[in-house]
Amino acid sequence: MQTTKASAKRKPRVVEPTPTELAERRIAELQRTDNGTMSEVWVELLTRVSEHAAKRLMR
Amino acid sequence: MSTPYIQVNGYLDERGQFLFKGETVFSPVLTESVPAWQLARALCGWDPLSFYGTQLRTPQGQSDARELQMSALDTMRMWSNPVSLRHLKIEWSADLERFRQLASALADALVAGRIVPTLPAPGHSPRWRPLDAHLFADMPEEDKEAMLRWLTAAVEECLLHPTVAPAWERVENSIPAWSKVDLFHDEDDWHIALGFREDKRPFRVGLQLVDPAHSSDDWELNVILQDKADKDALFSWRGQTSGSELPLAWQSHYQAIEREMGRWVAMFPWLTEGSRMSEALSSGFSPIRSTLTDDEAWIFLTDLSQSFRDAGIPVFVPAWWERVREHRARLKARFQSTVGSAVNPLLGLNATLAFDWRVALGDVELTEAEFRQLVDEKRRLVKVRGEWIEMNPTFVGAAKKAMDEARKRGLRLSDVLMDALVDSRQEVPESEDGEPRLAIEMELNKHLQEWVREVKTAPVASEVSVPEDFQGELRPYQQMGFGWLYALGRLGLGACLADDMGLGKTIQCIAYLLASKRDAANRKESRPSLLICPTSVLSNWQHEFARFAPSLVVRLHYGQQRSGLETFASDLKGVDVLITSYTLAQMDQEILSSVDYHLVCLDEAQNIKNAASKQAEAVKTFSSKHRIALTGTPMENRLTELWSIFDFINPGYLGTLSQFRQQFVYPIEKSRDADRIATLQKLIQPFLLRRLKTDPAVRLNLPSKTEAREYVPLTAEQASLYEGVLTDMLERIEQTTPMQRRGLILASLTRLKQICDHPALMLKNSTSASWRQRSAKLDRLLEMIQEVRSEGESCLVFTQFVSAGELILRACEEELGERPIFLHGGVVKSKRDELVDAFQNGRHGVFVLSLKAGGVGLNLTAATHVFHFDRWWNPAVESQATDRVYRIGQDKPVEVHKFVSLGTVEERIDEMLQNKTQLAEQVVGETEQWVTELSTDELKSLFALRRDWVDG
Repeated sequence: MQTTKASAKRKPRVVEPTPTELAERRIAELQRTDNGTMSEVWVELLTRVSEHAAKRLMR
Repeated sequence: MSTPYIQVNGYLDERGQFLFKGETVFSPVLTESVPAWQLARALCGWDPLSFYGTQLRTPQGQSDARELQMSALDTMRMWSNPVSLRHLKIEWSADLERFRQLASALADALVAGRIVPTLPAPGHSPRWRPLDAHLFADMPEEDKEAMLRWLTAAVEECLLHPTVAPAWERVENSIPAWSKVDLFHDEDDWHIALGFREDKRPFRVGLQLVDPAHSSDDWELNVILQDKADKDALFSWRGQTSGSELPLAWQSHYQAIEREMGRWVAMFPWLTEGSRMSEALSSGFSPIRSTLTDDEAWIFLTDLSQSFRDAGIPVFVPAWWERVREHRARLKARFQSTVGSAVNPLLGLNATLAFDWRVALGDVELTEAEFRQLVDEKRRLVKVRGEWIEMNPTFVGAAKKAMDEARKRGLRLSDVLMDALVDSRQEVPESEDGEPRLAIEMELNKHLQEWVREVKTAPVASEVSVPEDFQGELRPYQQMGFGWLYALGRLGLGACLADDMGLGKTIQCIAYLLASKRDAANRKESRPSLLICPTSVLSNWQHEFARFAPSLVVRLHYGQQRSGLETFASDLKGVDVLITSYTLAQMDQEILSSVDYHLVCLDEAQNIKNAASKQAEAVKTFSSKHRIALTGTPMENRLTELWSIFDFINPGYLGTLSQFRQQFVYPIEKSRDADRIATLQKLIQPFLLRRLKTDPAVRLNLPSKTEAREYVPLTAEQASLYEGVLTDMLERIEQTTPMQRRGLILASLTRLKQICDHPALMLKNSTSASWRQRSAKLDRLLEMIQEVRSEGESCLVFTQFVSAGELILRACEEELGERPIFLHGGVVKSKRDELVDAFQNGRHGVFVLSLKAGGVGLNLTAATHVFHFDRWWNPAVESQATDRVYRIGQDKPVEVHKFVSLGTVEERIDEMLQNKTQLAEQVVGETEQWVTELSTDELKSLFALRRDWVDG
C-alpha cells in the first residue's frame, strides 16, 4: 500500500484545462479562421454556448 | 428464427422536441409495442445525464404511455455518442435515420461555436444554422427545415441555461438589430449590423442632416460615404456621377451603395419622393430626397435617427444637436427685492418679493417677453442669437404654468430660503394635478444673498453680548444658543431650541428675553413677552426669572385672581414677561390675544404636537414679532409633531400639513427615503438647535449615570389574573371595529401593567395582612428603597398609576416607617412647589411621582436613584423623567433602576425598546412603537405570559 501511495505522489501532475478554458480556445480558433472580428458580446455568448453544449453532449 | 430487435419510429415536433415510439419485432408478423419507460431504458441505459433513462418524460406523464419525449440536446447526445446503443439492435425509421446521420456533425458545430443566426421571413424569429453550409448541401428543402428546427431548439436549450443566459441577455439588450429583423432584407447586412460579421467595405454609407443658415429655411439631407480608415473623410454621394471625387478603390462597391439605398427606401419609403427611386437608379442619381422641412427635420433628429441606427445605418447630425439635447432648460426668478435684508428685518418668511423671469435654454437666456414670442411661433427648433435652441413643449407648458402660479401666489422669502438650503436641481414634488412641477431657480441680489447667509450662519454668529443684568454665567454652548435665538429674532424668524433635558434651555431663553428688553429700550418700544408652559413648571420659571433676571418684571396669568378681558391690557403695563399655562392659553385665548407681544415662547412645546388640538390652535393665534419653541423632545413619535412645532415658529414654512405629509411623512415613515430625510434635515436645520448631553462640544462633565433593570417574577395570583385579562381581550378583539379594537388593546394593556405592579390595583383589595407579598415587584422596590435610605441617599419613584403610587406610599410607611411625598396630576401648584422644595432641601428622602405630572420641567437633583416602577412605551418619556435628576446641578453619580416583570408584556416591551432603530432617531433623535397597530397574532406574542417565570 505504501509503495502505491509513494508512486502516486511522484507522478508529475498534469493540469487539465477547465471546460471554460476549452470553450474559450475553441471560439478563439473560430475567430481566427472564419468570422473575423466578431463583436465581444457574441464571442462571450458563443463561448458560453460551446462550454454548456460540450457538457450536455458529453464531448 | 431471427433475433428480436426494436423498431423505433418518431418525429421532431414544432417545439424542437423528438417523440419516439418503439416496438419489439420478433418476426415480420409478430411485433409488440414497447412502453415508453422501457424504451427510455433501452435507448438511454448508458446515459448518466438522464439518470440512465429514468428522467426522460412521456408527453402525458403516464406510466403506461407509449410515446417517449426527448429534448433536442438529449437526442443529439444519444445519437452522437459513440458508446450509446452499441449493444442494442435498433432499427430507426428512415426519417429518424436522416437525423441520426447528422447528429455528430451538428454536435461538433455546436460545441465548436460554428453556428450562425439566419435571417427569418418577416414576422418570424431568427434561427440558427451550422456555419458549414455543406452539411445541408444536398438535402431536400423539407429536411433542411427540420434540421434547422433541431439545431435551433438545441441552441435555445443552451441559451436558457443559467451559465449562458446572462451572456444571451447582453446580446438581446445591446443589439437592436436582433429583434428588428424586419428592417433587413439581406442576411449579410443583418450579420454586419449584429456585429456577427465584419463589414469588409472600406467605407460606411450613411445619412447626413445639415441645418439651414436661417431657421425658416429647409434642411439638407445627404447620402454620405465615410472612409473607415479616416473617419473625418466624408464624401457626398450624388449617384454614380459623384464617382470622380471618390477614391478609386471604392468603385467596385458602387452597386453595393445602390443596394444599400434600395434597402433604406424599402424600410423608410418617405426617404424618396414618388417615382424618383426607379428614375434615380436608372439615371445614376441618388434616389434619396435632398431636403426636409422644419417638422420633418425634427422628427428625423428625435425619432428616425434612432430607427436608422437600429437598422445599422450611420447617421450624421449637426454637432450642436447633442448639446441641445443635453441642455437643461431652466426657469429662473431674478430678485431685486430689498425685503428681508438687515435694512428691513422682522418681516418673517411669508414676505413676498419682487422679481423678473429669465428662461435659460442652453447658453441662451431669454426675457419673459422673448420667451413668450418664441412660444407663439410654435417651432421645435429655433435659432436665437446664432444658437439653435429647442422649444420643448413639456418644458414650455411647465414653465408657463410655473410663471402663472408664481404670479398668483407670489414668491416668498421662504421660497428663497428653501432654494438656498435644498439643491433646487433635485426632483421637485408633483403639483396637485399630478403633473411634474418645474423647479424655479432663484437668482438672488446682494441683499437677499446676505439675508440667506445670516440665516445659515445664525448658530455661529453669537457675537452678541449677554446683558449685564443677567445674574449668572452662560456655558459656551449656552452662549451660542442665546446668540442663535438673538440672531433669528433679529431676522424675525422663529426658532426651536431643542437641547437635551438639563442643558439649560431656560436660562438661554431668559438671557434672550433680557437682551430683547435692552434692544426694545434702545428703540423706545415696550411690548411684553408671553411664556406658555405646563402648569407643573410655572413656579420653576418664576424662580428662574427671579434668580437669573431679577430686572425683568414677570407676572403670572394663573389662578382665580388673573386679569379679565377688560383689565388685561392695562394690567400688563410695565410687565416684561407674562407666564401662563397651556390650559389657560386655550381657556383665555380671547383675553391673551388682545395684546401684541414681542415674543411668544412655548416651553415643553411637545404640548402642541397635535396640530389639530385646541391648545395648538390657540397658541398659534397670539400675535408677536418672534416665536420660540423650547422642547427636549421635538418629536416623540411622528413627523407631523415636528410640523406642528414649525407651524408655530414659522407658519407656512414646511407647507400645509397635507403637503408635508405627501412630501415627507409618507416617503420617510413608510420607506425611510434617505433623500427626503436629508432634504427635511436641511430645511429644518437653520431653525432647530439641538445639543445632546453626550455631544463633546457641550463638555458638561456630568457625573456618571448607570442604568440597570430589576427583573421580578409574577406571583401565582398575578399570573392567573394576567391570563384572564389576556384571554378576555383575545376573545373580544375579533368582534370589534378598528376604533374599538384600539380602545380594547389600550385598556387591556393598562390592566396587564397594573397586574404586573400589584394585583390589588385591579382587584381594589389591599386590606389583607400579607398584601405586600402579593407582588414581588413591590417587595423588591421596598428592599431597594430601604437600601438607598440606609446609605443616606434620596430617590424618585415614577409610576403611571396614581393607585400604584398610593400603594407604594402606604407600603413605605408600614414597612420602612417613612411616608414619602407624592406628586400627581391632582396636586395644586402651590403644593407642588412645596413638595419640590421639601425634597430638594432634604426634608424628604423618597419622592413618588406620577410620570405625567412629574416627568417634565422639575429640577430634583437631590436624588441619586431613580426607580421606574412600571414601563412606558416611549423611552423618550422615561429618559425625560430620569433627567429630573440627571441634569446640571447634579454632582453625584446617578443610578436608574427599571423594573421589568419577567415573562410579561413588560419584558417584551423592554426588549423592543432596546432593539429600536426608528424614524425619529434619523430626524431628530427619538423613537416609538405602536402597539395598537399590531396584528392580533403579533399582539398575542407580545402580551402572552411565559409561565416559566411565574413565582410559586
